[in-house]
Amino acid sequence: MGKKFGLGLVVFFIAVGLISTPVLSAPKRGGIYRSSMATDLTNLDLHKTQAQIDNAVLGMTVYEPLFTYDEKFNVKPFLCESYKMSPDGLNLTLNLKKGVKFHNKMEMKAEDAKFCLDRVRDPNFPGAAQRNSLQNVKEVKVTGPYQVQIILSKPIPNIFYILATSVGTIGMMPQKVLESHGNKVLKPIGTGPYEFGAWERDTKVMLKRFEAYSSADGPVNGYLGKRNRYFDQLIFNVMKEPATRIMALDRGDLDAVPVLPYPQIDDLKKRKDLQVRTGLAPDAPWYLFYVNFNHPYLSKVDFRMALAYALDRKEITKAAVWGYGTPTFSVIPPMLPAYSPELEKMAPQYDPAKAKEFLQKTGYKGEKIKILTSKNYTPMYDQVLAAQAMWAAVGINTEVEVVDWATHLTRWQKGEHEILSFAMIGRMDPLSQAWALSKDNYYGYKNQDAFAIREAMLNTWDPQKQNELFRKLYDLTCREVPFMINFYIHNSIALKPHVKGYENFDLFGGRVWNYYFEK
Amino acid sequence: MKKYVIRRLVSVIPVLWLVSILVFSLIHLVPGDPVLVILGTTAEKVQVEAMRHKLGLDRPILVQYGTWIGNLLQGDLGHSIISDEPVMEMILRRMPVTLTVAAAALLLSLSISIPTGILSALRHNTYTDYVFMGLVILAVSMPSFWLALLFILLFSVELKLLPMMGYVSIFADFWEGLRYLVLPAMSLAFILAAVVARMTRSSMLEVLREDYIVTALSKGTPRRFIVFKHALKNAFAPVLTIIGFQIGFLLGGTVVIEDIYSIPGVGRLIFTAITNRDYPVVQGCILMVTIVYVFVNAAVDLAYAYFDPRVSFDKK
Repeated sequence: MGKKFGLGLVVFFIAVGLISTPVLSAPKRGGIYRSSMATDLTNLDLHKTQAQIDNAVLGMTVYEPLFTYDEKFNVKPFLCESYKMSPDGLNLTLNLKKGVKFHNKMEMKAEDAKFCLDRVRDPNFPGAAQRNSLQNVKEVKVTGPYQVQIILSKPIPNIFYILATSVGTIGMMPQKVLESHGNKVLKPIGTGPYEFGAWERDTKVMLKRFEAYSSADGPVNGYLGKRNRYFDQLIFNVMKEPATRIMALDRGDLDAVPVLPYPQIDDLKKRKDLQVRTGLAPDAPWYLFYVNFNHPYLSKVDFRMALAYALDRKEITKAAVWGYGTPTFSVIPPMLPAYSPELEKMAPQYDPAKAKEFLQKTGYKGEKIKILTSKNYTPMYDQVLAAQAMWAAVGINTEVEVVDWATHLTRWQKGEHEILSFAMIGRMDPLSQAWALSKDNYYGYKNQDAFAIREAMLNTWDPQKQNELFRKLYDLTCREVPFMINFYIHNSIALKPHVKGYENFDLFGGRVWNYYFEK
Repeated sequence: MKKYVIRRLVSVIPVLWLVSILVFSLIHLVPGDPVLVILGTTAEKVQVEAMRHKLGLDRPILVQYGTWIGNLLQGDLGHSIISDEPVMEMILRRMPVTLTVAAAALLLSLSISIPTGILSALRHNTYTDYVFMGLVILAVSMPSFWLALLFILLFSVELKLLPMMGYVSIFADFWEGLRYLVLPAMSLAFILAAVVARMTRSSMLEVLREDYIVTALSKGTPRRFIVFKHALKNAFAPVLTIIGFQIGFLLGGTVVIEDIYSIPGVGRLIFTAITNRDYPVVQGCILMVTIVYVFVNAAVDLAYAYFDPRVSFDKK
């Protein structure tokens, strides 16, 4: 009896467990997901904006690209089913997915893809983010109802990155709608999991579930795979003040707050009524110091070495982002395949004595060197304060000049600075990531070796070879110190406990699918 | 009086013209390129130049000013460089929001400051006076953004009485709109009230010492009648000047409060436009705010005649 009862009890608990586990944890549809955004959208037309916020909100909801990334950050076809590149690299054929619906219920066809690819290259279309990258595209041809051919005058080895999710994503839009509106996006229409509801400027953006969504299926893998749209609506509230965002979360006005204020992350992580996630994204913005090569001292490699050896990147990261960054000198983002921790050994490591040795070789007599910065992005200013003290410790005399963001950008572009505190958005393809080492750089760096490596990168399709060249470029930055990278910042988000299934996969924007409300 | 009104209206024209030159010169002369703000840090030189040409920013500044003023005379304030939206639409959408918040803050401020100022003056050098003036100094010393955060913490997060962000028009839903107005209005009103209360008190004290008040008192005129009919009316002219200035401040200077409460007002629009060097928006907004400000001041000047009969507008 006792044994039978015991066995029965075990069977009962197993049965309850089997039945109840999936029931309790099964994702549920419904609810309005409310999040915050620190700045308002700048544009509803994704083809003419490189603002991170536009891509993070509209690029993850309304619009979808032809290619995107898997969880290992490899570019894979998304709205196209397959592709074929001719052996000479001059003819790329894209076979589009069939049955993909726009939010106006029209099917996406080859004409729409051609229209979008032509639109972003049109010299008369203002602000096309990818025009320059696609200047070797000679023609886009419709070769079938679901097939387009991109004819190139010269190979573009990073073309798949350009066609993938990015800052300036080439989202697919319906040709007929845009043409009927004078090529203007009055109401965004794409193929994404959520359709546009309303944009109350400076207040909020509202999106609703696209019931006829059909672009993606299969196992979830990065941005690939099924995009379960559990929420009925998404609302992104414009809240510029970080303290207010946290209070709104506490009050229950928000379900999630991305971009947390660095000084508060440690405290927020200790709270049991919040889930706080932080991590390094492959596209993480990197904070650095540019130096002007037209300056008598900054043009000397020994002086730049002195500057680099004087910097303790770990301390700078603590000072600027409270440790929520990855300190590194590497131009190769730490999450990309080309990176390995071994690379760190090649970089100038914090060594004040060595910095002083290098300084002695330059004939520097304590002349004041200006550091240009702004307070628009606080780490940009804070990294200056930390570095200034470190440089002072080895005898480099600096003065900080603070300007507003627009002035900062202009002076960066005109090279009107001595040392410039700056940040760059991380890019997935080596060529774009290493843009600061190209002939077009603004700070006067001219190194034929660097240009030759980039030229070689432009002529190879082999990812292994690309990565090898990328590492060569990095090696050169360690020997030449054309700029000094301090850290890559971590992303962060705080969620209320009832938000379940969230995974921190953030690449130009966090996924807004596959998570749900528990209650 | 009519002549004064006409004179005042005509005088607005050179003021606005001067403002247009000033704003245009200042925003174009300060460094900073809107094209770089639009295109971001990944923009290349060719793109930047093409965009600058497209927006007409490569033309001489006088030509740009001429085009802008020409369009302005036809009622066209241009399009935003950043969002391509008509500037007039952008302003008209935000102006009612700002005016509503400003009016609410002003009403609240006056309902606190005038009685406080009068009471302090009537109970001069008593504990009531000391307590009120102490509170006034406290209110002036508290930054509005700090006060706003405290109000949110108390009324929204802890007591859950009022919403902490957003805006609902009182014309769309009066009671709901009122709930959204309370905290921003309170955050602004305290500082404004402090200034007006001090001015009311000192002005009242001065008037209460006048001979005609002493005469009225000695004739047995009821005290309440003397305070409200004779003293307050005469003491109000300098207070009115301060209120006029405060309206100007409320029209464009409430950026911090708009940011904290996520209110889509003109202050926030101007601030963002300056940051982005969105020239047409900055020019349009400042011009509109100037127009409202000039008219408010004209109204204040006209109101002097009511409060102080010695003021005459018509030259004889």
